[in-house]
Amino acid sequence: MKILLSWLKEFVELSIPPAALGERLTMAGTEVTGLARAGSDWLLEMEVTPNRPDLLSYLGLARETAAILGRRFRSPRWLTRRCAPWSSSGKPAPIAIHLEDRDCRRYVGIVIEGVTVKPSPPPIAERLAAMGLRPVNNVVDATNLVLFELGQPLHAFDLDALKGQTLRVRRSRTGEKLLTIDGQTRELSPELLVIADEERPVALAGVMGGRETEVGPQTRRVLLESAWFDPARVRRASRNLHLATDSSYRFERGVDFQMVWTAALRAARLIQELSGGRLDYPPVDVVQEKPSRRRITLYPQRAQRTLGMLIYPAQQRRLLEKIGCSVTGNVKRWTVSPPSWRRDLAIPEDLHEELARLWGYERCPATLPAVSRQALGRSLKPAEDPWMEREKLLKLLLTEAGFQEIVTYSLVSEEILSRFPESGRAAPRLQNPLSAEFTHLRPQLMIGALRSAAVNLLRKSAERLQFFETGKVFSSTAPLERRALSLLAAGTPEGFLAVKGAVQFLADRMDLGAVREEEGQGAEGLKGPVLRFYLGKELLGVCGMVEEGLLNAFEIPTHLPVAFAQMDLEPIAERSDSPLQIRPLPKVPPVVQDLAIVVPEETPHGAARETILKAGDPLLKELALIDLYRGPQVPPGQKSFCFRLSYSAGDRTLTDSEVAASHLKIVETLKARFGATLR
Amino acid sequence: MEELLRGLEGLLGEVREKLSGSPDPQAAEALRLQALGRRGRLNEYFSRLSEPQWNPKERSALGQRLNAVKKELTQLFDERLTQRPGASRGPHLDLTLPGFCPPAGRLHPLTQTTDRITAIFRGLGFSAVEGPEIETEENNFEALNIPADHPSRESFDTFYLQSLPKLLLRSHTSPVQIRFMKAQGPPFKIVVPGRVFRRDAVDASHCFQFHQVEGLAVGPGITFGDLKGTLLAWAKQMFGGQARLRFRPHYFPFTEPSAEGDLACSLCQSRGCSVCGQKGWLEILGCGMVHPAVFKAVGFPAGTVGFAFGMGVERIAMLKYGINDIRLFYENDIRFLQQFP
Repeated sequence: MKILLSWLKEFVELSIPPAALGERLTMAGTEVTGLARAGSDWLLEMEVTPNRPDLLSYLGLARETAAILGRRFRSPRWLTRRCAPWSSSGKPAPIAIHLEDRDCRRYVGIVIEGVTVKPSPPPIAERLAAMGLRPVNNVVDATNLVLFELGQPLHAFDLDALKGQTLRVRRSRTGEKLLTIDGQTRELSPELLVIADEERPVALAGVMGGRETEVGPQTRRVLLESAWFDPARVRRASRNLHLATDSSYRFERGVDFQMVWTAALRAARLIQELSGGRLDYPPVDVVQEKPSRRRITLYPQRAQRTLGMLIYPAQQRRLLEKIGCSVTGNVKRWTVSPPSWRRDLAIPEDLHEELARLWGYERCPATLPAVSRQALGRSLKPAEDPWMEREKLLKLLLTEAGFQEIVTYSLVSEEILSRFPESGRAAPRLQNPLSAEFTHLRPQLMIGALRSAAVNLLRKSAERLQFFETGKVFSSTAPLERRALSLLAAGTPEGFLAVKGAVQFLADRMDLGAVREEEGQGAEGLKGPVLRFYLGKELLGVCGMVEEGLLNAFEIPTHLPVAFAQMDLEPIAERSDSPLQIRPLPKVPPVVQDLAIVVPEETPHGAARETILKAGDPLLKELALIDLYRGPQVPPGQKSFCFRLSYSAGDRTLTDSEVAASHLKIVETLKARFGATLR
Repeated sequence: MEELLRGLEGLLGEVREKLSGSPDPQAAEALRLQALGRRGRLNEYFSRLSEPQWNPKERSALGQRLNAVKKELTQLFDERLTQRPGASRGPHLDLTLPGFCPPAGRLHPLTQTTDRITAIFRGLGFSAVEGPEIETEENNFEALNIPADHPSRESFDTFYLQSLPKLLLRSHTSPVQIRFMKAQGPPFKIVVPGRVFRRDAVDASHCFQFHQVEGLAVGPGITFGDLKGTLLAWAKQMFGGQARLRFRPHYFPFTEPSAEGDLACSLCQSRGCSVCGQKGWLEILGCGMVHPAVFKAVGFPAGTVGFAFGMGVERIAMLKYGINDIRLFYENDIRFLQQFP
């Protein structure tokens, strides 16, 4: 909200520089976000929090400023003047007002006759312009001036444009329409509260008036409206109509019930002054329900305790009186009645905040809670989520394995999902997406990984990429979200092995037990042979090479093979850490031998490995591939595996002949099975 | 005897010659074993010392010579194997070659920042917990004292899910407070990192997804001063011992009293500069004493006290590392990511 310093000064004595005022207001809870010169004046830009509608006016802000600075609030004479401004003709007003809905609690109508509608005098027009409002005419401008001055939204009807002698505040009926003063015809729903004459709605209650009954040059008689509408009702209307106005902004936060009357009189006098009108009839004031005066019990000691601030009971009383509360009772127990404009003060904690902010948050000593000491004395359930530590370990292990962590968007586009017919179908759609680019929750992590790879490859940030991401993936059917892990390797022919190696490394280091691998053909987004990983019977994930069509879609050059795996982390998260038991160290060192064999190209390593392990049983304990060779040293169409074999027999020393026999058996089996020759 | 001594000199000469030919380390080692090994040629000579043909004088002379040759050979091999620069013409150790370390990846800066924030609160006695990203309207709003049709919902422009009524993408991590308190009574201190969503268009300082760390401490005797102290202790560890925080009254529906926490701008010493928008202070967190309505929603008895706070991970990382565009976090350009430790 914008505030002109000169206007504010009409209501409060101010002698401090504008910057200092801004600082004080900020530290009391109303942040001043901008301060600029406006001619000889100053313009303050401030953010009023939703709980303080009373600050959305000069009067309210002046009250607050006076309380914070300890200055005198200057009550203008017209605010407290008691004598009625209307002539006592005794005639009843030429209009009747009926409140037919609970959501209008009070309606004040004042008729002003004989007005001359013309432009406002320059001082008023200039003020409104400074507040960012276009001056219209003296009547409308008077209502807007009072809106800023007192925070009460008002509306002026051309009384002669109203049909009949009765105005009703009621719900709109299906099929009713209203041309509002912004020139739009709006279809009204029964959700809306309207002001209606005997034929049709003439205003959207608390939001905007109608074009056909607005005050213009032809107007001679004005009906001035000042009312109290239910905040939630106005807010719903404003939202449904996509129409936010200075008026709805204040009503939806709540206006001061007492001010409804005061503001009506103030505006009526102003209109009378500016337009030469006459106030011949007493105001119509229909009150449906008065808000009850609140009484809050405040225990000064409790306030001290929860704030950790030593504010004496008498000081507490003084602080609350400064903001307009009436305080009775004694130093052990105050009964506090907040003023009508502070509907946000309802419970003792609200008063605690008032005390703290008026006293100064900075005067509260910083301490540390004593909870941990108490907690240890009781049987406290461990609060820590064990998965969080495990996930951290998982991430660290993957960085160790050479993978860079990435973080991508959880939202994806419908267009890209169409390339994933399987997972895409389950992706939950947003009801209110921001743009076509982000319409669904991601059903898997591949989209983000490929997009990140594309960014790097296209910008030539790196030639070789190894990425991982952990995050939630989503589905429209339960479970709605699951933890997942993606691994991507691009720009290297060994990408697949890097991804597979990382999965195996995780299985080993996170003590997952046996992760079974199964060969298969194709999976969503992957082409050719793929490897599936199982933990027990549960599918953990699939690893393979990304389809060329997808690479094209992400503008990744297709000559770069991209390996990808997505893993479900839920089965891993469910497994709690099994307590680690250390095995005794072997007393005898193993016998280590290398075995280089030449086999036909199509012989899979896995088969050779299993054959060796089986033939070497029970002395062969460990087996590792240390070299894979293709080249001039082996015949064409063949390749060479070099294995390192480790024999041991527990606590006893192996004899040379035992090892030789086992080795020979392995060689013979390999020969028979694959036609392998020694190299 | 002559023949034996000649043989010894021959061995010495042969080794000298072969070593000066700068053999590779394996060949040198083979040569060493051949000459000095347990079954090597020198030991063969030593074993001949016990032959009966020698008289004591000869035996002692031979012994002395053998020991001298052994010493010389050992020295030769030591020199060779320790590769004194200039002592041989072999490939020398180039100390200026790049060192080698297996390439490791790094954690994303958001992970690093979240971990750091969380670790400090763990040190202050908080336990880390998590919650789902798809939430109920009840947990995200109503239970946190944010009723429908209330202006305070404005700051939480929220994504709803089609065909999943009453479900939304959580707009803050605070619903985890509700979940946790429904499962467990006080006293406790928890910290909740997580991803949240708001309907914000993407630009340099906004994104529809970002990360928060939420904190909640509930127990008898907790004060507003404890909230200040906890956050100050955190800030000093996060930003360095000279860090200053100021607390400004604010409004959140789920806390009362509420405050916003500002970090003193370290660039300008709070005098005002372009980084802090001339304010001297950088808003980094929201906090307050838990509103009684929240405790009521989870069934805690009246009179329960506690504090809560929440902060944005992106915002803190951007301040800490001088990052001017939030999109950098989600683009994953490796040239950005690898600037972090």
